[in-house]
Amino acid sequence: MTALAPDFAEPLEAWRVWRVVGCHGELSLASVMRRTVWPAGEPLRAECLVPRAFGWLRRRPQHDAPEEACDCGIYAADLEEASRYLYDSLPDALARVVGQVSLWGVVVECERGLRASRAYPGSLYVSRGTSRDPDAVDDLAAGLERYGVPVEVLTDDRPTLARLLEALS
Amino acid sequence: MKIGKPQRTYRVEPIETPVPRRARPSEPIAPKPREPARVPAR
Repeated sequence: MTALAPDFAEPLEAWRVWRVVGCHGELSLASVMRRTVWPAGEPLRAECLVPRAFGWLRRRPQHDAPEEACDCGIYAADLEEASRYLYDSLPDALARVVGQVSLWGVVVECERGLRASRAYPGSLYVSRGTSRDPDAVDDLAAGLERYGVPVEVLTDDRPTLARLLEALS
Repeated sequence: MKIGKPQRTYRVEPIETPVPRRARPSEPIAPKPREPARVPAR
C-alpha cells in the first residue's frame, strides 16, 4: 500500500481568540466555546465534543476529529472573523487574548475558517481592554510566556487591533 | 466560531512540530496519597 503524500509540509497559520484562566496556580489558555484548556509545550489534540441528540439510541461510533460531516475540530479563522469573540463578556476568565495559531494534522477548510486535528499557539496579543484587571496585563503576559511563543501587550485596545488588521491586510 | 460549510480536507504534516522548545509544560499534578486500608480489629 502506498501512503498518500501530505498536501502541506508546513503548518497552516490562522487566528483565534482564547480565554485566559488560572489553572493549578498557572495561567493557561482555554477555548472560548468549550472548557478545553490548551497545554503548554505540547500540541492540543482535537476530539469530537459535539453533543449528539439521542446518541445513546443511535450508538454512533466516535470518530477522529475533525470530520467534514461533523462540526468538530480546533477552530481558527482570519483575524477579522476571530476578533469578533475578543470583546465578549468575561464571566469565567481573567482575560481574552487574540493570537496566531498553527494548525496541522487533518485540516478541514471551511467557507470562513479552518478546523484542525492539532494546534499550538503561534503568537499572543494581550490587551488592556479585554482584561478583567487592566493594570495586570503585564503579569498576564508574563504568565503566558510559558507557552514559549511571542507575547505582546497592546498599549491600546481597539485602535491597536485595527492597526494590526490594517498591517496584515 | 461560525466558519461556514466545509470545502476541502487537507493532510498537513510539518517536518518539524510547531511547538517551541522553550515552552514550559505544566507541572504534573501529584496524585493524592491513598489512605492505608483499615483492617478491622479482631
